[in-house]
Amino acid sequence: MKFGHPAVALVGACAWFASAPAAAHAFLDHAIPAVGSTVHESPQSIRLWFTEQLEPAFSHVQVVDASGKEIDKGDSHVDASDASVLAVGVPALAPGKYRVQWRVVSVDTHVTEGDFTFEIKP
Amino acid sequence: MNPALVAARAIHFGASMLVFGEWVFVAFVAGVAWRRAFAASTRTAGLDRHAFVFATAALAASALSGIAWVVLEAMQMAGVPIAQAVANGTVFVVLEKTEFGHLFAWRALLWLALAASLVALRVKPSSRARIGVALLGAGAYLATLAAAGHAAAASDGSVRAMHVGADALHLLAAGGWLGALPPLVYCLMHAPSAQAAARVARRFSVLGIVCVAILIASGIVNSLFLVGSFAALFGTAYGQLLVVKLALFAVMLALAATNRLRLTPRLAADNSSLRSLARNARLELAGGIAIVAIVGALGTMVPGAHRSPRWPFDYALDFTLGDLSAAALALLIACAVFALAAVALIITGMRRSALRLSIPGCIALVVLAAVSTSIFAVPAFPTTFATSPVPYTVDTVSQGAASFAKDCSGCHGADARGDGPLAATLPKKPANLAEHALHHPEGNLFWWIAHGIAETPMPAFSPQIGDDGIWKIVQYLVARASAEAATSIGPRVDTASMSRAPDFGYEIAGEGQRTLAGDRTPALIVLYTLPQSDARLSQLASDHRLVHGKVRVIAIPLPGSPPLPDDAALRAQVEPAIPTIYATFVRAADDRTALHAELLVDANGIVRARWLGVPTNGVDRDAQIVAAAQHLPAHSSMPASMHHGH
Repeated sequence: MKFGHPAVALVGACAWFASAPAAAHAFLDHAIPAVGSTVHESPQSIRLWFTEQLEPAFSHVQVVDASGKEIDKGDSHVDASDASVLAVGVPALAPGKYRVQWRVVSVDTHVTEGDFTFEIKP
Repeated sequence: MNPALVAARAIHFGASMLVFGEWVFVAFVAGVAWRRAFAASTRTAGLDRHAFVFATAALAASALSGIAWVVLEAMQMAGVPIAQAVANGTVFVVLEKTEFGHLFAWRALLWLALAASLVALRVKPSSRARIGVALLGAGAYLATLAAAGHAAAASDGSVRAMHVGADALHLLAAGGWLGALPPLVYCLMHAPSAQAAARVARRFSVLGIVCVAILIASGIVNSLFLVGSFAALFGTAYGQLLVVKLALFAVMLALAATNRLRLTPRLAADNSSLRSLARNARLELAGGIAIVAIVGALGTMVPGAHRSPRWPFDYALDFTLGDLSAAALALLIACAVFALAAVALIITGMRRSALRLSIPGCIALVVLAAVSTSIFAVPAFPTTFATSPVPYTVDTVSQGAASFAKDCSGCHGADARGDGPLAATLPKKPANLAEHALHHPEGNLFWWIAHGIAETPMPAFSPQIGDDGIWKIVQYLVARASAEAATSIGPRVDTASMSRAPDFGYEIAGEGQRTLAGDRTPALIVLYTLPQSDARLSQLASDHRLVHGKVRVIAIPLPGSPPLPDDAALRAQVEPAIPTIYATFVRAADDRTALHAELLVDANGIVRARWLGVPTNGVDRDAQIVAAAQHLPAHSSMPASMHHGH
């Protein structure tokens, strides 16, 4: 097979742009607590960073415990200083598994949704 | 995809273009040619009436489709049925609180102004000032649609300005061409003389050429943003629909070229040319309607640049010149020489104003282009350009490592160097993945693990291992090869480094959790062994230059070392998998793991510099680190992670 030195240039050759700037649909970029991670102390809030700016009126996140009961403070909001960040406060959480469910509308009107879990293990 | 939303968008785009194109035609084409041909005749009144009726109908259609668009969008945003969206006042929340709503509220005002200008124009149709106002209003009404699309969502201000600007120009050019076709057909059908028709057609083709040039330039800018690669163009639904749109555009261009080059020059002499011209203009209009329908759909889809593409061809192009054999290089040079000859032939043909020489020249050029391109063809698979649905984290890497140890290490060896216990029994030596993994697209590694490699002992692991499981093995191989690549990285910033640091979370007391990649700032990962590293760690904790150099210090105990005490300044809590994976990044050339090492990782997660061992002079090393941190590349937005529903 004739894949030579940086044969990853294959991708490069077929790309007009090394990496296009994020636009168009808000995908989850990263979160704190991180997607699927285990933390030792209860966080005070859950923060989600998206790949584009969100419409505050239609973007929400909630946190449920292992039994599916909503346990966040119900103050889901888009960050005032960074419109691509969605956050919700949580009380001191007991050890266990939690699921974060989000549904957001990007400023160009597109809806995306998803969920992830994190675990608290002292 | 919501078909009602697609239809509402398409009608709104099309109607807004018609209004604009009508006045472009009146102002730039008919305004001069037509009025001069029939000074003071009733026929100009005919065109004025046609333009008014057409523009009024289009304006009405744009109002209805615009309202439908807002209502459907409100439904979709709130995720409620239409009755609820109307009854609950969701539509008003959209108008009041979203950027899309604000835009449409402004456009409603523009609509009113435009309607008023049409009435004013009807009263005095030949007023240049009133035509100008209507043209300006219709242009603003059309161009503002750019802010309702994907372009408006770019998070970077200058990118957004460029993208929205290109999109607005694209809309105006499309409207100027397509929207002017109905009045063109009207004029051609009602021309009093062949000369008058010829004059209108000539002026229209100037308009057409200007519009097409703007369409191509702005279209390229837009597709760079929204598609970004040939892989996304051919391998995603968005890209494929764009290909259909481009094909329609090419057909329309061919029709327009026929009109300009063949039919228009004959107009004055020959009546059948007039009918052909009118027919072609109608065909162009039909093509334009199909394109607008596609635009209606494209705006509701995820742009190709943000989807993992599925490559539909057996080959892709690799333009790395260094890999070419001498024969291929010779062929390439021959192609270039013949291409120059072909270009000379084409130019000679143009000079003699005879196409006889140009045509074989063009054919030769196409053949040469195909031959020289085929030199760069390399085999490709459906997943060649795929982005991993599994993130590159210590977690997934360790899961992949476990699968690798179980299913792959027998042949490929515990360290993936192709030296497993079974390797000697195989007819072909297994690949040294620790060396090679970074030199292949991840999508190819995925395909080879899933489907095996023909004519080699490499078996297929799909479906015994699921897709996510295979991607985890790929991520392990990337980490393994990154660790191997780190061996040659020293204290100077390695600008060509391909060594990627797997992402991980860590907790600092009182600060909560942070992640390596999430902060988008450089980090110094200090892998320590106590007590040897004690002095260096306390010196790091007190050196404020690092903090001012915007370098985070993340201290991780190597396997076998106790962690720092809870009250230590650099104490970070990490999962046990992190020391195990990162220990492979701090091996010396003789494969021994250092007892203390420091990795400088840039904001994109690439290992750029590496120090092994405890420094004799910590202050000097900190100076080196701060100096190196000044030369790191800034954070660049990487392709979006693909974990989402839609």
